Amino acid sequence: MIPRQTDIRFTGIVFILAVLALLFSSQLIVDPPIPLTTDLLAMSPRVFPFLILLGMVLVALIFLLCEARLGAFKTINSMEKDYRTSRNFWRQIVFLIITITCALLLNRLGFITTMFLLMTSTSVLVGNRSLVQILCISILVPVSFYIVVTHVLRTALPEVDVVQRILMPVTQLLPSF
Amino acid sequence: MPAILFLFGIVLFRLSVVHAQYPEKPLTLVTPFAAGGSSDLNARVFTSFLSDYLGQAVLIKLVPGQAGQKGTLEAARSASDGYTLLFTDNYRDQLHKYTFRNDAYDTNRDFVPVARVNYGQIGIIVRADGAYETWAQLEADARARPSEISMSHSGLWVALFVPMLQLMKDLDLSFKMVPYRGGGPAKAALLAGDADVSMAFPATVVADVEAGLIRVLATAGSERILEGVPSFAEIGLSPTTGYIHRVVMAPIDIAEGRLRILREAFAQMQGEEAYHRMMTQLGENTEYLDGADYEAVRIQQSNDYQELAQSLLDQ
Amino acid sequence: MIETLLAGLDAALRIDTFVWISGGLLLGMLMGSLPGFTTSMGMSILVPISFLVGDPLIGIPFLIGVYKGGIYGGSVPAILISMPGTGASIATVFDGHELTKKGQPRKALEMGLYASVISDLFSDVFTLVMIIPVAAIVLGFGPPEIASVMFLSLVIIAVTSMGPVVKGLLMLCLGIWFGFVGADPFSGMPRYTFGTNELYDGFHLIPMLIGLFALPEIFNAVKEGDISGSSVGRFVGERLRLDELKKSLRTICRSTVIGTGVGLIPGLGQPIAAMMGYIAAKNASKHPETFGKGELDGVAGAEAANNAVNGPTMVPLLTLGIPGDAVTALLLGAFMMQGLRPGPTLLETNGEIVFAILIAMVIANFLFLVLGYISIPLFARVVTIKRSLLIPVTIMLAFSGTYLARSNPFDIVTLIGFGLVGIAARSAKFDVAPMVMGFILGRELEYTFGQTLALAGTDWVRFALTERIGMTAVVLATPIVGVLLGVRMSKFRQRALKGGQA
Repeated sequence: MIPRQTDIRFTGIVFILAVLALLFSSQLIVDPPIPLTTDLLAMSPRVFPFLILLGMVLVALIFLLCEARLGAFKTINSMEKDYRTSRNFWRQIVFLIITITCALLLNRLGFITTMFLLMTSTSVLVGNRSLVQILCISILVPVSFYIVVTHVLRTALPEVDVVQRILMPVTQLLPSF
Repeated sequence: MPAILFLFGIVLFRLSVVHAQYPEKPLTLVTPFAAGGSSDLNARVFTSFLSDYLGQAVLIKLVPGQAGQKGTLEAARSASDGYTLLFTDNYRDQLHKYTFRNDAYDTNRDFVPVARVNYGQIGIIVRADGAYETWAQLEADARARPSEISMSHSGLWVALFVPMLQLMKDLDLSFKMVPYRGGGPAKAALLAGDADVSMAFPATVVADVEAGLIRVLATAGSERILEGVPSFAEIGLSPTTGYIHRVVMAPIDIAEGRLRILREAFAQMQGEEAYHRMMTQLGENTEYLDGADYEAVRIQQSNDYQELAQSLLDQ
Repeated sequence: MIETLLAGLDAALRIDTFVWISGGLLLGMLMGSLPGFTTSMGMSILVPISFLVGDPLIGIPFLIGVYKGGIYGGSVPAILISMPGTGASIATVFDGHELTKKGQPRKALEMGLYASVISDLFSDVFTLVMIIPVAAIVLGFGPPEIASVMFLSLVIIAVTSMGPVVKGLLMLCLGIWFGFVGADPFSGMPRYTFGTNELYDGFHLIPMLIGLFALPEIFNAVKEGDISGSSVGRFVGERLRLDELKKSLRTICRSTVIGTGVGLIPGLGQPIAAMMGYIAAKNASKHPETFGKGELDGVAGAEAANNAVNGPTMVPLLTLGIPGDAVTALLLGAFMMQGLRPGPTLLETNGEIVFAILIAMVIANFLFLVLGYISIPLFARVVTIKRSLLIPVTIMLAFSGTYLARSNPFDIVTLIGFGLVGIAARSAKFDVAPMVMGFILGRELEYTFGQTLALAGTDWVRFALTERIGMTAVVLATPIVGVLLGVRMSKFRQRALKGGQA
C-alpha cells in the first residue's frame, strides 16, 4: 500500500466522524437533569468537545487540501489488488478474527481456556510447527500465570468452575499469603 | 419407591441448608469510592472489626467511577442472599437520584439500611490571615458582592458542595463555586489564595487550625462543636444541613433473619475499644445508628433533597 | 531544622529499614514489569502489610520502595516486548524496543536503570533539602498555570512528533477526543456513550497503551508468517559501556531537571515528564534522526525524567497532607493507618519521621541500583527465546494485563480497538504518541480549563492580565514555541531525507 493513500483515507475518516460528532452533539452529550448557572457549574459538557472537534475538522481539512494540491488523490495502485489475495493478508484477517473472538469469549470460557486457544492459534500463525512446543507453552504459561496472579497477587481473573476445580489440588499445596 | 426416597432426601437436604449458619462464606462490601480516600479508609477499619463479629471475612470491593453509580448498580443487581452489601453515604442515597439520570436502580426501592457507621459534620473554613474573622463578616460581604466570593469544593453534589448549596438557598446568598478534585486540593486552593472560602470536616483541618493557617467560621448541626464557633442552626440554617452519614446497605429482598444477624453484628462491634480507637485515629467518630433507626434519618434527608432539587429546578 | 534532619538520619539508618525497602523495590519491579498491574494496584494490596509491620519507619519506606521499583519495572516490558507497563514508560518504548530489535536489550535496560537511579537520587536530595520552598512553589501553581503548561506541553509534543506537524496535531485532537468518551468531569454526565454503561467509564489507559504499542508488533509478526527460526537476539547483548553512559550524562542531567520541574507542578505526572525528557533529548542531540531507531540517549532522556518526578510529588503530601495523585493518596492512607496525620504540623511534631522517610528514599536509590543490576541479565534473557514462542506469550500478557488493570471485560474490546487503530496509524504513518498524550492530558486540561473559567468569573480580562500573568505569558508563548520547534523539526527531517534515509 502506498502510504499516501492510507493516510488520506485515515484523515478522511477522522474528518467525517468529527463533522458527524459536531452535528449530533445534542444527542451524543447528555445535559444535566438539574440545570445549573455558571456560578455553580464550571463548564458545560459541550464546550471543550466543541473546541477540539472544530480543531480536528480544521486540521484534517488543511491536511487533505495540501495533499490534494500535491496530486495524491489521483494515484491508483494495482499492487493493492494482488495483496488482498496473498497469504499474508489472509493470515492477518484470521488473526484478527481469532483475537476478537477470544476477547468476546473470555468471560464465557474462562481465562485459561481462552488463552490456550489464543496462544495455539497465534503460534501456528507465526509459523511454529512443533506440536509439543505449542501445547506446552499454551498450557503451562496460562496456568502458571493464573496461579501467580490469583494466589500471590490476590487479583481475580475470570475462570470457569470446572477449571478451578481441576486446579484445586495444585492451589491447595501452595503456601497461602 | 426409590424415586420417592430420593425426593425425600433432597427435601431434607434443602431444609438443612436453609438452617445452616449464615454467613458461611466471606461477604463482599461494594465500596463505590476511590482508593485511599476517607470512605475507603473508613471501610477498611470497620470491616476488619466486623469480620470478627460475623465469623466470616468482609472483603472490600472497590468500584469507583461515575460518581458512585457504577458500584451502586453492581450492588443493586447482586443477589439478595446477604453476601453482598453496599457502602454508601446519604448524598448518594437520596440526592443523586435528582442529579444523575439513572433508570437502572432506585436507592429507596432497592436498598435497606443495615447500619449507619458514623457521621461527619461539615464546617465553613477561611484562611486565618484572610479578611473574615466571623461568619457574620463573611455573610455581610457575600451580600454586598454577590457571586464574587469564590468557594472551592470537592465536586458537584458531594460533601463540600451540597451544604453550601443549601446555605445559598436558605440564606439567599451566592458564591462563585470552583471545583477541585477532592477535599485536599480544595483546601490547598484556599491556602494558596485561589479561593476565599471552603468547607471541610473539622477533623481534617485540626492541624491547620493549630498551625494558625485556617479558621473555622461555622459548623453543622444545632450545637457548637468548637469553642467560639457558631453552629449552622445559629446562623439560620436547618440543623440537618451539612451532615454526611456513612451507611451500609443491603439489597432490599434480603432475608429478615440475615438482616437481623448483620444488624446485631454492627451493634456488638460498638462495644469494641480498639474499633473506637482506630476510628478516632482516622479522625472519624463512631456515632452508630441501627439500620431501623436510620430509616427516620433517611426520610428526613429525602425530604431535604427533594426540596433542594425542586428549588433548583424552579429558578 | 538541622537537628531534626540528623535525628531523621539516625532513625533511617537501620538494617530492617534497608531490608524492607529492598523487599519493596523487588516487589515493585516485579509488579511493574507485569503489564497492566499498575503501581497503585500493587500498593493498595500491600498497604495492609505496611500497616501490620507497625512501624512507620519500615512500613512507609516499604511502600515507597514498591513505588520506585514499579516505575522502573514498567520500562522492562516496554523495552523487551514493546508493551509499556505503565503510562510512565510510554517514551521508553520508542527507542527501547528498537534497541532490543537491534540485539542490545541489556544496554537499553542498563541505561534505563542508571538514568532512573541518578535522576531519582538528585530529585530526592533536592526534595529533602528544599522541602519548605518547594511546598510554597507547589501551592503557587493553581489551575490557570497548570492548564497553560499542559497546553504548551501538548503543542510541543504534537509539533515534535514523527512526521509533519499537521499529522501530529490531528492525532493530538483525536487523543483528546478519546478522553471525552465517558463521564463529563464536572457534572458527571455521559458523553459519547451511546447510552451504554461500559463506555460511561471511558477508555482505560492500559489497554490503550498495550493495544497501540504491542498489538501492531504482534500483528507484524503474523504478517511475516514464518518466524519460527528467528529470535530477537541469541545473546542478551553487551553491557552498557562507561563511555556510552558518559555520553548521555548531559541528557540525564537535563531530564532530571525537567522531571523535577514536572513533579513540582501538581497534576502533570510521569508520562508528561517522560515525553518532555525524550523530546528535549532529541532536540538537543546532534543527530536527532537516530531517535526512534534505537538511540540510547532516547532511553536515558525518558527514564531519567520519569523517575525525577517522584521526589517533589511527595512534598504536598508531607507538608500539607494533600495527595497529588493516586499513589500519594494511598500513601496518605498508609500514613493515617500508622497514626500519622500528614499536614502542616507533621514537620513540627514528627519532623524526624518525615526526614527519616525522605532519607530512606535517598538510600533506596542505592539499593535500587544494586538490585536492578542483578536482575537485568535475568530480564534480558527473555529476548533469547524464540520469537515464535515469545509472540504467543506476548499476546497472552496483552490480554491478561488488560484484564488486570480494571477487571472490566470491556477493556479487552478497548485493547483490540486500539490495536486496530495502532495498526492503521502505523501503516498511514501517523505517530501515536501525540494521541496517547492527548488522551492522558486531555481530561486534565479540560478540568483545569474549566476551573480557570470558574476562577476568572466574568471579568476574565483583568483576571488574565493582573492576577494570572504567568498563565497569560505561557499561553501567548505557546504558538511561538510551536512554530519555532515545528520549523526546526522539519529542517531535521529534510536533512535526514537528504542523508539517504528514504
